[in-house]
Amino acid sequence: MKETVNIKINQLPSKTWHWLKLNETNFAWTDEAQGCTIVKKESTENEALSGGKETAEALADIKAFEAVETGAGRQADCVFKAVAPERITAAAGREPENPVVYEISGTDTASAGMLDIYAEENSRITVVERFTKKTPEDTNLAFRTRMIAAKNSKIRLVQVIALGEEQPLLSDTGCVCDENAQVELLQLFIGKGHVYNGVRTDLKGERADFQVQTGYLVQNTQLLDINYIVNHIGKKTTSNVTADGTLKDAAHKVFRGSIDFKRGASGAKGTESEQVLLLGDDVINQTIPLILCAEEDVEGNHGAAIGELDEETLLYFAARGIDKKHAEDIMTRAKLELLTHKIDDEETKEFAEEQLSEVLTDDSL
Amino acid sequence: MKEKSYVEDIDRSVYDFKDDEKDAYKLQAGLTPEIVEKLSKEKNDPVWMQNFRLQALQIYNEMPVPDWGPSIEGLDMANIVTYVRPNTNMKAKWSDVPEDIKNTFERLGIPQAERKSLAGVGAQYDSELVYHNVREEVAAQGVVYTDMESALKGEYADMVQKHFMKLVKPNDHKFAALHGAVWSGGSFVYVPKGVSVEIPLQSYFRLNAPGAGQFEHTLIIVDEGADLHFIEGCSAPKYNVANLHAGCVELFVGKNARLRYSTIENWSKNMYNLNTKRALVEEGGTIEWVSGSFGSHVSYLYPMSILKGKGAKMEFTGITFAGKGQNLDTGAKVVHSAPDTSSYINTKSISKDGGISTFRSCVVVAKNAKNAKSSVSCQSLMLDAISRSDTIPAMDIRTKDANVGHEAQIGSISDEAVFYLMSRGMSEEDARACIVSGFADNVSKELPLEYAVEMNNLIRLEMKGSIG
Repeated sequence: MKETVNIKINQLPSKTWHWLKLNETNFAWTDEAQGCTIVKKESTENEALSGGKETAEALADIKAFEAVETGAGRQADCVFKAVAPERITAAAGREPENPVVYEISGTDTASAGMLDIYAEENSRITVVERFTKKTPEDTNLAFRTRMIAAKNSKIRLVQVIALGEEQPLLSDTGCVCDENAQVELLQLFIGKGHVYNGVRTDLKGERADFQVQTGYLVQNTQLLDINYIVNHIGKKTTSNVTADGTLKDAAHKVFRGSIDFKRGASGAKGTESEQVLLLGDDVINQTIPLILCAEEDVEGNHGAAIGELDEETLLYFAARGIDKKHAEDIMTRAKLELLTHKIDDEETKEFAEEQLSEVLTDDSL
Repeated sequence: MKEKSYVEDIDRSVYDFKDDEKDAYKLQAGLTPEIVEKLSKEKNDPVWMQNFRLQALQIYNEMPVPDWGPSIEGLDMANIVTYVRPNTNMKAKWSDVPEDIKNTFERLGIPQAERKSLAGVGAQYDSELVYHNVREEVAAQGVVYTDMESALKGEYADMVQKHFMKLVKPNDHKFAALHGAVWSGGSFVYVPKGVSVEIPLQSYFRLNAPGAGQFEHTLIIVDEGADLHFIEGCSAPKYNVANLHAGCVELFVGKNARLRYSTIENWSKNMYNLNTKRALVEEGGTIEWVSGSFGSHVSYLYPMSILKGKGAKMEFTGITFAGKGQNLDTGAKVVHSAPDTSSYINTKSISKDGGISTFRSCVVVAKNAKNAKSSVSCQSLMLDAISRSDTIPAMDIRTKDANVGHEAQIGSISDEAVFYLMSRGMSEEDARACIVSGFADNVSKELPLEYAVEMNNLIRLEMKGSIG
C-alpha cells in the first residue's frame, strides 16, 4: 500500500527563529514511487563518454556518489531509494563535442529519477536537463543529480524547468569538486510548477570553483523553494551564486543561500547576490542568505535587492514612452532571456523560449 | 610562516572587582512555584502581579529551550538564585548609599557621569535599585523616572499594568517567561507629550552575587511628540559559576516621538545574557538603537522594533566583540506593519581568540506596509583562524510595494592596512587596534562622547595582545 511520507528538506545549515518558517521545508511524498521518464537525446552520443563500467572501479564510483550530499538533504534519500541512477562519465582528458541532453518528465503516478555525472581528470562535460510535462496526468516528480568533478575537470549543468502549472517537482542536486575542478550550474524556472530546489556543493580541492546562475518567474499560486549550500573546504576555493527573478500574482518564493567557509579554507572567496522583482499584490518573498565562517583569511559577500522597479529604471523607460506595466514586463522577460541565451543546446533553448512566450503571452509588448 | 604571539588574558580589573556579600535577603537557588510566591511576597506585589508571575512560570516550564542559538547547557536554573536584595533600600541621595555599594558605582564612573552629562540616574545592585535620581528641571517638565517597584504601586500603577509585558509576552520565548516569573528591579520612564529631554537618562545594572540572576524590567513610554535618549550600562565581576541576566525592555514610542536607546553591555564572561528588548512605534515615531556587546559568556540579544504607525522609523547601530570563551549571538528584528515605514540596520562584529559572533536578523514587511523601505548592512571581521563569525539575516516581504536591500561582508584585517600604519611608526598591536576602532566607528560616533571613549577603551582592552 502506498503511503505518504512527510520529510523535511532544504534545511538551513544553521537554524534561526522557528516562527519565520525558514529552517526547512515540509515535503510530502508518496512511498514506492515509479521511475520517471528519462530520455537521452540521440544526437548527444559521443565517444568521449562512457555510460557505465562493470568493474571494481565502477563499484568504488558508486560508493563515491552515494557519499555526495545534496541540497534537499539526507531525508530526501527515501524519495530516491528505489531508483537506479543513470550514469554518465566524461573520460579523462576528453571533452565531448556536444552537450548531453536529457528530457525528464513524470508519469501518471509519483515518479523519481537520478543522474550521476562523473568528470574524470582534465575532462569537460556539459549536461542539459529539460524538465517537461508530457501528459495531462503527470504527477509528482523528483529528480536527483549528483556530480563528481575530478582534478582539473569541468562540469556544466543546465536545468530548464517548465512543468505542469500545478505539478510539484523536487530537484535535488549535489556535487563534489576536487582540486582545480569547476562546476557551473544554470537553472531556469519558467513559471510552471511548484518547485523544491536543493543544491549543495562541497569544494574539497584547492582552487575548486562553483558558479550558479538562476533565473525564475513564479506566478499564480506557485511555490519556488530554493536551498543553495556551498561548502568551502579547500584552500583558495571560489564560489558565486546569482539569482535573479520575478514574482507575480500570489507567488511564493523562498531563497536560502549559504556560503560556509570551513576551517582551513584559507584564501577562499564566496559571493551570493539576489535580485527579486515583486509584481503581484499577494506575493510572498522569503530570503535568507547565510555566510558562515570559521576561517580568518576569507572573503564572503552577500547582496540582495527586493522590491519594485527603482525610479531610475522607470524614468528610463518613461523617457522612451514605456509605462510602468510594460517596463515590468520587459524586465521580467529580460531577466530570463539573459539566461536562455546561455543554454548550450539549441533544441532546449527553443523549448525555453517557447515556454517563456507562453507564460508571458498576456504581458508581452 | 607567520608566528602567532602569545595572547595575554585581558585585564578587566576596571569591571572585575567583587564586593563581599552582605545581602539583606537572598532566595534559595532554583525555580519553583514556592520560590516565585516567596519572591512575590517579599516584593509585596499586587494580586494581579502575583498571578502573572505564576502563569509565566507555568509557561516557562512548558516551553522548550531554543535549539537554534548558542548552547546554554552550562546554565542550570536549579543553581541560579533569582532574587538577592542588597543591604539597603533605594536612596535618592548618593551620600546615603552604603559605602561599599557606593564605591562600586564610583569605580564604574556612574556618579561622575551623572554630574557631567546625565539628566537622571538609576543604579541597580543585584536584584534591587539602590539609587534613583532625576534632575529637578527634568522632573519639573513632568518627566517620570523611577524604579519599577514604586511605579507598580504608586500613581502610575494603572499605566504600568496596562503596558507591563504586553509587548514582550511571557509566551514569546522561554526566557521571556522566566523574566515574567522572577523579574525584579528596573526603571519606569514616562516622558509627557511634547517634552524633549535634552540630556540622557541612564540606568546602570551591576550584578555582584555569584550564581545569581538579574531580571530587571525597563518600561519606557515616550508620549506624542516627546524626545528621550536613554542609556543602559551593565557589568559584573567574573565568577567560576554561571550568572544569568534575563532582563526585559519594553519601549512605547508615541506619535511623532523619538527614543534613542543606547546600551554598552559589558557583563563578565561567566554570564548568560538572555535579554529581550522590544519597541512599539506609532505614526511618525522613531526608535534608534545603539548597542555595544562586549561581555557575557553567551548572549542572545536582538532588539525588536514593531513599526505600527504610518511613517514610523527604526535605526539600529550595533557592534559585537567576541573574545575567548564567548559566543555572542546578536542582531536586530524589525516588523513593518504600516505604510511608509522605514528601517536601517547597520552592524559590525569582531571575533578573536576563539570567540564566536553571530549576526542574526529579520526584516518582516507585512502586506499593508506599502512603500516600506529597509536596508540591512552587516560586516564581520575575523582576527584569527580559531574564531568564528556567522551572519544569518532573514527577510520576509509580503507586499510588492516595498524596497528591501541587504549586504553582508566577512573578512579579515588587510595586511596592507597594517603595513601602511606600521610604516608610519605604529606598533603592530596599535595598528590593529586602530583599524578595529575605525571598523567600530559607526557605533562610537552614535554615542555620547564619554560612552564612545569607554567603548574605544573596551576595544583597546580586548585587542591587547592580539597580534598574530
